[in-house]
Amino acid sequence: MSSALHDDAVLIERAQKGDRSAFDDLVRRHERRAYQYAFRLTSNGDEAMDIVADAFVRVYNAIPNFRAQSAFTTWLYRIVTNCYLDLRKKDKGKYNVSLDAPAADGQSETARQVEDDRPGPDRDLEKTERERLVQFAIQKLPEYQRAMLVMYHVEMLSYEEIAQALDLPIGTVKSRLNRARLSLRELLEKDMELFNLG
Amino acid sequence: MNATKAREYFSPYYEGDLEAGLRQAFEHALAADAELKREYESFAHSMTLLGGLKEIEIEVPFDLSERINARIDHAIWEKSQQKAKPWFSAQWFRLATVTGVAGIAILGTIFALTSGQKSGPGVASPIPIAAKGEPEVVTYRYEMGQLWLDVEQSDRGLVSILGEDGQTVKELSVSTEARKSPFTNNQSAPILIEVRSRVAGQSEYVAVPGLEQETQAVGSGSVRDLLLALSTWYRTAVVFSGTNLEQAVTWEFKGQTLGEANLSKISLPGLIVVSKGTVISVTETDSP
Repeated sequence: MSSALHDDAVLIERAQKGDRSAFDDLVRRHERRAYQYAFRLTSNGDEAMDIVADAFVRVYNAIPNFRAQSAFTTWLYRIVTNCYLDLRKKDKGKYNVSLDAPAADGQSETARQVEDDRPGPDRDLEKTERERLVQFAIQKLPEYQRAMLVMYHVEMLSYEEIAQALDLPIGTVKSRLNRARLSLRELLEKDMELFNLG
Repeated sequence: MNATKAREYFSPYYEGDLEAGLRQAFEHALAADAELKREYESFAHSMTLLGGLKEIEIEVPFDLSERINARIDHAIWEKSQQKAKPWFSAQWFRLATVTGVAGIAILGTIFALTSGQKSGPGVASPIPIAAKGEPEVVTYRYEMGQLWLDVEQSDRGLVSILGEDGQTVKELSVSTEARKSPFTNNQSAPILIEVRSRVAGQSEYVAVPGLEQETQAVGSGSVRDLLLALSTWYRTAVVFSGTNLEQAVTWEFKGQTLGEANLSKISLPGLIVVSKGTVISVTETDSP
């Protein structure tokens, strides 16, 4: 067992006995990663914060029953994903335009965060532009596909870990991930003027 | 292999997971279909771009921990309210109706409200929670084994009752009329609650005796321990006006009942202990 996993195991055991400070330590160890994942799914800081807060409440309520059949991080990804999907379900039928949501020109908050106004080499600008387009295309994907793509390509989870997090067979994860990538490719291709494959 | 089937293999081919036979068939399909080949190249390029996303740093809000903790605290509080619901719906509503108390919104409690305890009833002589000159907000009586909070305010306000962990366990929303809310601690051990008026901006701690009887007249510990011991020994509520619950003290109680007690003989540095009506008042003085 790695040191990080061991530390988690110790904190989880203490939290399961009702030690709130151990739980708080667990939150501190994982909140950053959980937030970044939630932010990549939503491109909205407030929503990401809500999702992460809800997720840790669920973790708090469920931790007495956590049996460590998977790593804590995998379990957390599962909970954050569920919170995100629940939020989207709740939002269905509502027409919400967030100030942080991608603007009509496709500019998302993520893109704004990485923009640099200083003059730089053309290839850097092009790279930034492409990253921005990829982010925007991901936001157009169905929630489930978005979560899978982010888990695999950004959070670097393995197929096995995604399968555990989403409670799916590995074969299903692979085939759904392939469909998500195909959808993404199509979306990216629609903006060929900006998205130059050269 | 047709184009539809070949697209299913885009990912495994890209990741080098296709077995030799399938890989060959896939490459044949690409070679035979220029559009499919272009699609695959576009796919491979988007995979490269996806990989670049992980390098984008996402700034984490400075108050993330705070927000998470606040949400957890709120969830715990909500849970405690849910546990208290059966008591609220039956006992509290009945008592409120009997005593003619109307219009009080109670959001939750940890107390079990019963009237089973026996205690020497006396003439109520409430202790005002507010300082002299300010409107009287909350007063206390301990009668028939119950702690009574008389809440009087000129304006609509809120009185919060907090458990020892600082979590709100009950809130009383009060209007212009005097309100009465009796409590009984149904646990065996005494408990310490905090009663906080949001209007007056003040709070007091109240020890409420449980079912057990204190057998030790002499003891030592913190002010918190003293309050709990006092309430259990004399079977009444003890109201503490002060902030330092952790100050170390030693004590010796005289007499078994409040009537027999000579509280002024309890010499405690920095504290004034007096009997007021049916309750005991412990006040922190400036100089210990």
